[in-house]
Amino acid sequence: MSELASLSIAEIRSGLDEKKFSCTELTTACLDKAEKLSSLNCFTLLTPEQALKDAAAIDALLKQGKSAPLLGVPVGIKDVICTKGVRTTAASKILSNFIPPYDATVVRRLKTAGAVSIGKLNMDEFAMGSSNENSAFGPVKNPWNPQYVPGGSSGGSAAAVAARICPITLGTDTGGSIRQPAAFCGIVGLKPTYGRVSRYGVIAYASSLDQVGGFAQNVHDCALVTQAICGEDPNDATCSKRPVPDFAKALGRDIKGLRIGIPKEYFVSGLAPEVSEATKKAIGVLEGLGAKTVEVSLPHTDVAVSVYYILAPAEASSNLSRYDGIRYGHRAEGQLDLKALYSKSRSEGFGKEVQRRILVGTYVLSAGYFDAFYVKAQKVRSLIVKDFTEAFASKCDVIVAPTTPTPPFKIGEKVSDPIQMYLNDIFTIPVNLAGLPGMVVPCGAASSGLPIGLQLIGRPWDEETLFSVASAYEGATDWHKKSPAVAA
Amino acid sequence: MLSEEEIQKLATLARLEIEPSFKPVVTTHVNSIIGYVARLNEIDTSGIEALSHIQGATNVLREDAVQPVGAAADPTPLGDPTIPPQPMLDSDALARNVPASSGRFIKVPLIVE
Repeated sequence: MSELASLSIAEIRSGLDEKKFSCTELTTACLDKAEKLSSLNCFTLLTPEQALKDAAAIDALLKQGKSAPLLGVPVGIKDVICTKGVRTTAASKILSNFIPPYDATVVRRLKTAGAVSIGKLNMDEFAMGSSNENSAFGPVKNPWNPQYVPGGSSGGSAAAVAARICPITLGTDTGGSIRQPAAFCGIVGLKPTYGRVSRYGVIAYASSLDQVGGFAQNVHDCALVTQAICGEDPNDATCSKRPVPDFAKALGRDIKGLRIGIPKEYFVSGLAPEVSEATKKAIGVLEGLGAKTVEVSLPHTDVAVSVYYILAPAEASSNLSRYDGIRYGHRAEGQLDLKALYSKSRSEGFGKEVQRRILVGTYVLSAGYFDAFYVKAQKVRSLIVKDFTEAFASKCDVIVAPTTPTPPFKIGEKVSDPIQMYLNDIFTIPVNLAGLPGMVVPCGAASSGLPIGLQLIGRPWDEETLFSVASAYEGATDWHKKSPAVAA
Repeated sequence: MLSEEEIQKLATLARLEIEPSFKPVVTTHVNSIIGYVARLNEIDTSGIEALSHIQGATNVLREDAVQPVGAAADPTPLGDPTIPPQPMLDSDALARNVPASSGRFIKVPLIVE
């Protein structure tokens, strides 16, 4: 029954409704596939007992004739998202035995929708990374070729969908952590507008940028998982009260006459020819569907990485100050005074990249440097927002661009140079800084055989246009139908 | 350029104990990151306001009243989709994650002699 794990949501839903298979059989198939592909290291924890118990409850509902868009659909949850009674680690030693006493709002929403969680997904520690090499559980392998990174930080979430272990997963995106792994693994991923999805119960990295989103094999499934997690939450003051549109209605909408902005700053010398070519071909497909392309300028693109690596570490150093070894998480052994207990617990618990970012954050927030770094970065962030506002005000309805400057790289290739690693997020970071929705659909393959993804950027709260463009593109191409050999 | 001593000072402020073998490496890395992000100084931001919240959110206030203690009811498949306000977690639920405790109390090092 291992082929059940590869099904799309539409196939799962009709199969369950027509009683071709049960939710228990489907869930078992996904768990078996996860075990079979354990060398990819996608999961930090599988929860077969709970999953099969939940599946049995869903089977009872199905027997009563109940039906809903995600009823009985298996899902994986990035391990930065709290799950009641199920260990949640953020892939860090410091939380290696943390069992949350409550569910994150997004988990609660998925459970109410009838989805069945099969486990927690591997990631870069505290979502800090672009390659998944910073996990206390070891790196995730790219299902297309295990020598390559799956991207990060939501690498396990992307690899599990690409390897057809489960149809949908949740990830988080602070600087590109959904879109870059979606591109590197050849699947669909969406970071909704900042404020569209609750962050309650999501372990904080950089709170002004963090946002939860979904991964899927295709645009339709991505719309369904996005629909399920969006909406207001009394437990998160930054979560918007705006009504959530029906995203499925945006699928298949005509894109004739839609104005597509092509940011000239994204097609500069650092862009790998393979990525440039695949992106331009994809733009050609959209033109063929009747969209009009127009060049736009986002002049502050090249300083976005600098802004990000001031603001994100600053927020991280503050957010991570809560890990003190006293109330929860790792506590150092021995007879220690209070300060030594703090610093020993934290140093034993945090990995090297996390420590590096805490140091940078502490520096840019320290007296004498605050104005020069932090306040300056918030001013330049205003300029980045203005770039997008101006482009969307008069010139275009959506922006189409490459997701990453290069195709996927090999494990170990960039670990020694943090700046090279950080520059990998140059095209995704501006979207977080401006709080916009960003989506990735597969659009090509590099000579290495690894996937390339196309990035769509929308106006604030306009995920619908992204879904329309993505579904039109998907309808005209076959990239979403390809899957790695291990997925079979 | 930050020296290893200055990195040590930051580490002390951040309550981190840097492994001796990692200290020269992290000093190089932090310097290259600070050097890279310092390019923002080349950008003219006169008259530009620093961003405080991307959608201009403001504080959300509630009545100053005692909040219920306990746990929100577990969600059920196809149950009520409304997200309930999370009550204050009770101390037993919180105590389960405390790494060192004695009865209902959290063990801490001696603070007052």
